[in-house]
Amino acid sequence: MNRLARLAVLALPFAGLGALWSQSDYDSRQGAFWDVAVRGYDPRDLLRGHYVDSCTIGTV
Amino acid sequence: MVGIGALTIGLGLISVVTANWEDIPAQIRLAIHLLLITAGLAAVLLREREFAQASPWSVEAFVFVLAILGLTFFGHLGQVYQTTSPLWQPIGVWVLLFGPLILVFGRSWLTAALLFGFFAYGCWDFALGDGLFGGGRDFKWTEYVVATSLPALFIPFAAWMRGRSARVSFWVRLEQAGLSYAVAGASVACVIASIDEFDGDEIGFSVHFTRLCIGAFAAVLVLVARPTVSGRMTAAILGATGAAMLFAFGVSDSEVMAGSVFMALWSGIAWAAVRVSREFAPPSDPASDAKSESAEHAA
Repeated sequence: MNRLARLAVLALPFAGLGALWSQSDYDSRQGAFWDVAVRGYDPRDLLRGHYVDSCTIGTV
Repeated sequence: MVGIGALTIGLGLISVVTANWEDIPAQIRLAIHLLLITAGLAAVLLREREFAQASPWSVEAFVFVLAILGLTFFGHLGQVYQTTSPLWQPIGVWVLLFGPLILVFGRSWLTAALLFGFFAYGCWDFALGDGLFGGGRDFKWTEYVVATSLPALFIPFAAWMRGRSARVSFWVRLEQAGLSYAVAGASVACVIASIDEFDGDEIGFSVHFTRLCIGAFAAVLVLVARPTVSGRMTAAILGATGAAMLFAFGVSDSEVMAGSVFMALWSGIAWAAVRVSREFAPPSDPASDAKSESAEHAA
């Protein structure tokens, strides 16, 4: 296989992953930011034990 | 001693990274991940021949690690940006990005199994509509039958490449993986028929008849690509798996008949294996490929 084709095959993962990263980063910067007030609580699940979860109590 | 030292340093580095994972800025983590992949790709481009001469397995292992690093990059992106998607989507993109790399540089069963395994898994995850772990698509029988039959098309592709590449071991393994998939599918169909789990409706018939057509089409392609005894037997088994699935569907209400189809399929496979073993034993060691590859380069 010629060198150009090998180079293309090796460049494809780099270009593709780089493009995915750029797209994800761009998407994450779109839209509005919301500050949401939450309150922690212990759901006391019999199977999963004690842990902390949160519930929304309104927007700020 | 050098190996143990390298292993200790490696484990130490991994421990330091994992202990401080959340404290490392996400963009730096992703940059290091992509940098590792890029360095590996550059090493393959510049040093592949030297690696192969030292040990063909080193190239195989290198490509395998690179492909796994690429796969984990999708999970890393999801972790950083809190994104989610059905599994077949990242697997599909991974196959598109890393499949050509594996097809061009893969040397044996390790990379062949990796590519085939993830491709088949992605096809099933797509085909089942909701996905194996929940994907949120509606089930469509046409998509189901085409997607789950796609992995079998690796067989004629690998058969065609086998005679045109110095990396015979890789293509043999890929062909074997595809054939194992088809045989396993037909065997499972017989088992399902034996417990009468097939719905005897028109859609069920359409699914299994389409599978027979795809199996026959792939068998003809194998015959054209590799008209040797081994190729003819591969084509015969492939055609038989398609027929066995349709027969199994047809006898879904009879345990004895489903068992007979199963036995007929495996008797045929045993007969084909005996025919092929009389002719020759296929090469299974990438070291032998390395010799023929060196001879090819020298010529």
